[in-house]
Amino acid sequence: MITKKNTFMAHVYAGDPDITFTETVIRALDVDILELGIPFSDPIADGPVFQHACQRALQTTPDDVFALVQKLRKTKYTKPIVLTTYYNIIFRAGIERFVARLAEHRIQGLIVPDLPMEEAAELADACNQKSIHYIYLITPTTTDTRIKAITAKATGFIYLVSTTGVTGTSKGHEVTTVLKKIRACSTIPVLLGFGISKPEDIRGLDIDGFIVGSHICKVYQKDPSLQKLQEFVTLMKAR
Amino acid sequence: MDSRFGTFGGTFVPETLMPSVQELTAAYEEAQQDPTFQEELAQALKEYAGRPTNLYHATNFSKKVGCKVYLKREDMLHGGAHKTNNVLGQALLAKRMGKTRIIAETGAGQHGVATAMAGALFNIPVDVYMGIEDIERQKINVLRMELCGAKVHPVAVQGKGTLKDAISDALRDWTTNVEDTYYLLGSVAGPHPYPTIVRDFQKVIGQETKQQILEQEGKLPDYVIACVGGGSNAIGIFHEFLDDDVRLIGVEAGGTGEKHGATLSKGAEGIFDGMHSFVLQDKHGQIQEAHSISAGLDYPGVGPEHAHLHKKQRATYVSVTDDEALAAFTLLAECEGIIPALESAHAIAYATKMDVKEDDVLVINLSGRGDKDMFHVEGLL
Repeated sequence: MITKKNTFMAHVYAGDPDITFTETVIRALDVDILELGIPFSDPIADGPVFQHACQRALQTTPDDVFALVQKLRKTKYTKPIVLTTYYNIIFRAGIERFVARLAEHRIQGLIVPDLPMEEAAELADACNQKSIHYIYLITPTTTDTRIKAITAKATGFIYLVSTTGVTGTSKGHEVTTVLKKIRACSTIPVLLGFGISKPEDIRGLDIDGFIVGSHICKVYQKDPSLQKLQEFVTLMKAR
Repeated sequence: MDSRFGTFGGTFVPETLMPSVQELTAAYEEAQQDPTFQEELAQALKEYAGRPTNLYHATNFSKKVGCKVYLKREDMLHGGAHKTNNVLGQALLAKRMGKTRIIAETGAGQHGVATAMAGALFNIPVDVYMGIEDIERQKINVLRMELCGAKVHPVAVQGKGTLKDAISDALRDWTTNVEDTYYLLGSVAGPHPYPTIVRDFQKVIGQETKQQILEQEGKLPDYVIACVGGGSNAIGIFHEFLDDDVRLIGVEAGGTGEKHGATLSKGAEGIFDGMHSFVLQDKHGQIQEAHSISAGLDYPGVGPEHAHLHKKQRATYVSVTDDEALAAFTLLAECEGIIPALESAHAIAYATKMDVKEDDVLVINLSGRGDKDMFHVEGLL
């Protein structure tokens, strides 16, 4: 899924504030991978920006999100799509059924921020069987033992959380240490996310790419014409 | 330590929290084996909190029910509710782990108050997250927390906020400040190891009850009844009786009928607040608002051990409405001179509805006192 250095993955919650606007945002985002979120009522790994986005988008159902993906695919949207949602949405739909739908819609990856390695086996296996990447997260607090165990299971890429915090916050920089540890035990690509809003946030880091979420939400809210958003993408890609 | 109760429980938290959850599990297992820790806790429970609490034969109320009714007087515990048992245990654990800050969520405010008290006692700063609707319903408890030196953070999402929002924000705080912060969870809910830790610190209620009822009645009770929100007072009194021939009844918030907090009676299995349990949710898996006259039962989840007891039918879960709870609140005050917490009034209310035999013996966990509810019920009575 990661074909070049400096891969830019953009995380958008579908339906904020409606699915038509999300489609416009997606088409305006000239990025490498789309991370599309199904909103959840209680997004515990998300900060205030995405919490509010989820609340605004809460009427959007998984069916609506899959319909949007279908529409994108029908209109030659060929970028890789990674789906993100909280585990209850998947549990409620049924693991087998949910993963079958991912495959049917040619979705390449799945991120579940409240499902750590210890609880993920069933879902990760179901994804593997359909050749969908189940994406694991590693954070600055992840112990060495866990880093080894996670990288051994990981496919696609590692989502490296840049801070000990929730999305949209930035605090401290323990990234380099954990990055070195990942590199020492695996060749899997690493994308860095959480709290990234400007080129300086990722400059000089030995990463394969980066993920921007909350900041995109902030930018399209301030400027719904999406001109500022396109400028931001250009700026980040030129880093 | 097993992270599951049957198929329920587990640890559904962001990766950032996993090392902390594991650190907590290890620290707790170690503390459990340490006689010094157990002695320190026993001393705090006795001398600070006032254990054991009485098992009181409520003769006037017994007449209303039609059989012998005993009340386990957790309302007489320091702080005014059973919550003190758990916070003393966990605050000692936090101290032992070298944490310099405690955070907590609170619904009715009782857990927040208890945590604030423990913070003052053990000299650890406390931050409490509380939904804005609960702050409105439980002003007195906000004052009590602040008086004990805790900082109360109002939680609102799009202008609303109850216990579930407070838990989410406490989890976010913990995720952000994981190194120095101890998250002191107040119920038998949330990710493993909390349901086990909190159960262990609350099971003293049942242990005392068993001893007391054997002394006073010479036999085990026929029924043990407790209200269930997250479920800590209920697990606390149930646990000692799990292997006995005693019927266990958990009473959930029936609310207005249409709007309720009856997670086990009316919810479905799901993943919420870090646990696999029963959850109030819509068909897509979005968590729904609970409703109850009592803030402490206003929670769309429930402890995983209750989900397990429910599924294997070891305990029975029922619900009573806001109006029934309010009537029981008044009834117990009038006939016994005891004002129960609105939460506990749900258990009282169910007892009055039961089809009992004259020689039945009922024990009701009177989990807290009702002083905190006076302003809230003022306009309703």
